[in-house]
Amino acid sequence: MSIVFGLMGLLGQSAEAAPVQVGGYMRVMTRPDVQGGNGTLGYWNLYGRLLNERGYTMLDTRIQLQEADSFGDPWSSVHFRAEGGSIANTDAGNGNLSNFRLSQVYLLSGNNIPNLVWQLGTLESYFGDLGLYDMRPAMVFTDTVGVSGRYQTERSELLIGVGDAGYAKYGGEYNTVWTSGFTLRHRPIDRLEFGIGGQGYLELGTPGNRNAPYTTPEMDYEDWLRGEVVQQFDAENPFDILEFPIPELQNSSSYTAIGYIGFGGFGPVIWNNFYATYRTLHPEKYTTEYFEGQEFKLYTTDLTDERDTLLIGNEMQLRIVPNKWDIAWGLLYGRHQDGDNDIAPSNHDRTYASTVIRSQWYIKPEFHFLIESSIAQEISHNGRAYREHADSIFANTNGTADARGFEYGDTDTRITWQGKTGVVLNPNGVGIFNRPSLRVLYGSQYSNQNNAFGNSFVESLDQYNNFGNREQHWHHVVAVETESWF
Amino acid sequence: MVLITLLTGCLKSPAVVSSPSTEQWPTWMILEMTEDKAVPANVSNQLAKAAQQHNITLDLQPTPADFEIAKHVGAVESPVLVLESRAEFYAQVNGRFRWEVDVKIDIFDGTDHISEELTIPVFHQFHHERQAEALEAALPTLERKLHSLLNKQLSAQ
Repeated sequence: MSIVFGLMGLLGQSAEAAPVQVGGYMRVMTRPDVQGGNGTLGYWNLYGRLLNERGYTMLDTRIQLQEADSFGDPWSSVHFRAEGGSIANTDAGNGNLSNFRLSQVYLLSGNNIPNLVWQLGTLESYFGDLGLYDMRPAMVFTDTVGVSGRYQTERSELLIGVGDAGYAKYGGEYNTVWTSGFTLRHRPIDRLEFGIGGQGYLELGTPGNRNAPYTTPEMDYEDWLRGEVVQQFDAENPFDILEFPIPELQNSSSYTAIGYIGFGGFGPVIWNNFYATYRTLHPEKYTTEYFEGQEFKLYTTDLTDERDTLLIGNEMQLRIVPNKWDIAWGLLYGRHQDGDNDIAPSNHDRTYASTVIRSQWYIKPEFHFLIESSIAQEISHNGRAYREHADSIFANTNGTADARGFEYGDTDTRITWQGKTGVVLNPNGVGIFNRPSLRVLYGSQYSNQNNAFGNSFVESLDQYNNFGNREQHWHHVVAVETESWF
Repeated sequence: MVLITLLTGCLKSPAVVSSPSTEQWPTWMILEMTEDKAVPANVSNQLAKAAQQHNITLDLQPTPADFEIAKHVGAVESPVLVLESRAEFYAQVNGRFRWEVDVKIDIFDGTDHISEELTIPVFHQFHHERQAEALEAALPTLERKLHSLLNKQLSAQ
């Protein structure tokens, strides 16, 4: 029977999206811990995100204001994103909404100029991520509200944005932080892609604005760390506390530079992502000291303006036997430096490096067997920072007990090994990063630090400590968890 | 291993209604782009394999440059199967590039349409993955839907 194909049009146009869509992400798990931990295998994602992360949920709603009738037509939409790291019955926050935030709201408008998409509102953008670490080293505009334009062709993409980062950095003590930046990504051939980018920040000192960047002159870094700046001033200037130096107005600035190289699609290499970020941290505003019942604000721009971070990450995905066996291998290196601080261990003065390898066998398309292992080293630049034993030294200077010492514990190095294994149910089939996933996992950790995981152990060696101390370097966790993008 | 065996036993294969005799259906599988083009070969081949389980051979037809116009003026033998798709970027979501694949699958037997419209979210890990990869990622859902529609069509015959 011959028919006129036009009848098929009676059902309307071709495939169209609904005007309102909701996407997002969730992971939820239970990890009862018989060793007294709070349910994570180790302290953080440096050892691989698996078994080291807590629950997380995100909803991203898109409302289409103007839908493109056909490919290339103008369109516009708004996005609202709410996210947070707490779920009832799974963590200390118990799903309280105070753990959530409206993290992104923006309007997108595309193709008013061919291939150009405008974005107004929050502007977060990144080149990609390291799935094994759940880290996104090459990001820009995470703290920015403003406007950006993204020009995209089949092989290239240029993003330029400008805005304000003042509220992200200072909240209620807002001061305008002008910022602008860009990313440029290009794929000269199918198997190679690279990108560069950067973002600069400028905070101008406005006379009279108490939220502007200031520096309290003549502050000694050690006194400031000890919270004794005012006390020291009083000791050196008896009865002249009213002459405590007034803050001096300053301008402050910082910047981020990012790079990316991606390649793959040959041999067993599915794809390899390499990211690098160098960031100078924006100075902090002030701290507070109390002296003889009076509050003193110490403005710290000069004491916090030499902090920088270098973060390099690489992740390679390998298809060893198609549809049977895949491997993902990650490397991460971080170096944090604080030019103002040469005396106290801190998160701003450390180097860390780790490698994670995950191997996944596909017993059936939906059922997988997983093994992951990681080894990591963290080094404090300014001396001891970790206690190796239940009876290790606390505050010290060069290993000698000193109540006023800045060092803590016996060693400046923490070494951590983790191994994880288990079964994975992936309804959507093969792929290490295919989701949704339901996982039943066992994980083991060894660290030279005592009790190197979130816990509620009492560390005090006081004779009146009613709870005693616990020495353990191995930690074991069993988990049932699920994760999905949707 | 015991757990895997138990879980594997719980897997349920979709029911398949087969045509009593081999049928050949003219088929269009379209990906909407600046110029409409056929869906990637591995997607259409996989869907053809799924139809084969119903004893139906999908006879893929050439894709006109503008399928929306062509489908109103063309003449075909029935029954026919038309799969129209569009893939668009949604947002970066927690490290992934979220895309949405809008699909309309229509089976026309000369008098009635059996059709389904669905939106399938897919999540690319890499920026260079675009429309074609989105359709590939949506394939498991497309296969399930095609089985469901073919079952419905063949049960109604």
